[in-house]
Amino acid sequence: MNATKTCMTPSTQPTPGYQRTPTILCIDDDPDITRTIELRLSSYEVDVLRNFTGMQGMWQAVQQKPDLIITDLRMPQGDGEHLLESLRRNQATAGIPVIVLSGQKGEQVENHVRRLGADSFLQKPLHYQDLINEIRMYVELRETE
Amino acid sequence: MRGNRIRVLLLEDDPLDAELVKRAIHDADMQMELHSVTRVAEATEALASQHFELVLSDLSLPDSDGSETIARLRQAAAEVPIVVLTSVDDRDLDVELLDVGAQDYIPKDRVTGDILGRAIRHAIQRQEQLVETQRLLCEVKDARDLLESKNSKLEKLYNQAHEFVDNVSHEFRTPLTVIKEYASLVCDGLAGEVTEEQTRMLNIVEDRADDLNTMVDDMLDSSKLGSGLLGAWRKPCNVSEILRHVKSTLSRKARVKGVQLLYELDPDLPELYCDAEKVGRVITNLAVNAIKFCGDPGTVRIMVSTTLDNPDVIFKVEDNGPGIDESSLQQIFERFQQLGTTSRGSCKGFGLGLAIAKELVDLNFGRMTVESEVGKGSAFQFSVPKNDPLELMERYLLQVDHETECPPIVSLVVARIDSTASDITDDGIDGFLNYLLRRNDLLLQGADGEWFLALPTDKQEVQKYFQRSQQAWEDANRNRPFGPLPRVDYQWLGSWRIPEDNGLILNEMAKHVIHQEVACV
Repeated sequence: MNATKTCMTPSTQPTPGYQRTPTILCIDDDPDITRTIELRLSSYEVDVLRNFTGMQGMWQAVQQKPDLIITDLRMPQGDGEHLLESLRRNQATAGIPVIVLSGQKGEQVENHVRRLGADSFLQKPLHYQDLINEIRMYVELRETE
Repeated sequence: MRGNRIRVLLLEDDPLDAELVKRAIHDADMQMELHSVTRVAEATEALASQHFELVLSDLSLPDSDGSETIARLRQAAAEVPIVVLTSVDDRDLDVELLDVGAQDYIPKDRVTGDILGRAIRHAIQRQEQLVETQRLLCEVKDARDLLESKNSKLEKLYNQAHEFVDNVSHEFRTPLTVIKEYASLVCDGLAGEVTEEQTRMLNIVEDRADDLNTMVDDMLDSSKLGSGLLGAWRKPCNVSEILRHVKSTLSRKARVKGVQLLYELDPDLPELYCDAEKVGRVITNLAVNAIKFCGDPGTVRIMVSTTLDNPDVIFKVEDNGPGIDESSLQQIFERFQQLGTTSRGSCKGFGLGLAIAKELVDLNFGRMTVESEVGKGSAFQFSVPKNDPLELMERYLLQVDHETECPPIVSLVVARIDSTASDITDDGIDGFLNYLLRRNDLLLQGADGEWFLALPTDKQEVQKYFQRSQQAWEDANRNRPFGPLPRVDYQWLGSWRIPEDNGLILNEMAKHVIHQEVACV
């Protein structure tokens, strides 16, 4: 995976000592994808929100201001590109880091979504450890006791 | 000329001049049928209702004058040759007459049988040639239009086919992700306790899902390779980084098959210049094959080595399988060449994977070879160039030279960013410059915010590249949450013909590279 990490800075660095549970919004039209991510993250102190369209995902992002968004690219009703553009255009969501998770492949796609404002690009099928590493770039993941 | 009588329309209002012409025609001893009129209106009427091989016309008529007469006649009969009878006053009109469509002109005071006969014959001949030329031009234009429409149709189909392959592969990956992830979740005990036997089975599920994913990759790559659409994102990278990405898949596969997988790496391997993902795919394809075909107990070795004087790093994947006999080795290499030309049926277990591996090695300016001994095993070996701009440029020039689609011209451009003005690392710009690359372009990373760009085009096309870059740069900055991309300044170093000017190109490169090395010190 070509995910570039160097030039990105976390926009919502948790304040030390402050034990707020981070929220991650997962958007994918396939409910099993978001479910597996939710299951993976069940061993960490994190709230996972799930949504199935870009359009509703955008609304949820505006209302609940998650600390991180993980989204698919190809979805009915508001695809990932549209979502990225909307997120970056809206003041409330412009700073939320976005990880794009796509079945599409290649540097052209990666460059394209980065251009639209994505912070990371991961490819399906993904190794969950890669996803955890990527998430850790943006939010603090504490294992549940 | 036709054997029948030539039908001539004579437009002349002066009866004396008309008589003169009639006599000359008689003298010319030509089989002619003369039809006389005195006004342009009559002439156009006659031309509309009858067929004439030629028009002989005076200029000054009761209802028309000068070149207007000819223009009106032309309009009435586009394909009938016109010979003008000029009087002394019309001498200045010569050129203008020819411009409006007259074939020839004869001064009235010189109308003799000889001259008139010759003028008429020539005019008719010339007109016939003109009509033929126009017909041919029309045919060429029709053929070109047909070709263009067929081309655009093909292009459309071609794009549709690619879109289809892209879509299909995307559709495959989502269920694959779900299968793999659920298997892995259950295997890791996130859904309750699992027995050892269950773990083993779940490992196989994951492994097979990986196989399917590799097949999707192969399908996608082969469709792009066959049509030359597969690009490469080459940049400096190191061996351990490449191996890190393929290890988890390979070790799971080895574990499932009960094969011992060993890595033997030279210490201090130098930096490579390649598309890391593609090199990773080559290793995966070769190792998956090796794991499939190795002996029992099976051992697969992945070895990476180089020497100081070798411009390449050598990757070797070795198995202790039954080996391949000489004729099959030959077959394997033939299959390498078949990629993209004919259908590819399975060749006794050597599927698409090897052929693609070979193409991906070529894409990175490397070479692939195979050694095998029956009963002992096989070793597939490929090279990846070290990060040496001059060596890479040399290999690139050879590749462009072999590429029949490329014009034999290479332009060299330096791209610079002001690295002090921005705290953005080069990665952003590297990605941006790579995004602009087309097939057969080469991007080499220099030191300190400098890149070399080799384009197989002339200076004019380089200008187009700059325009494309400017447009893309503006687009890119519209949506960047982390501030704008630094401005890229381009400097055109020159355009050269290859292969005769290869030396000049390398010299020009060397000047900059050496300059950089000095700057680095």
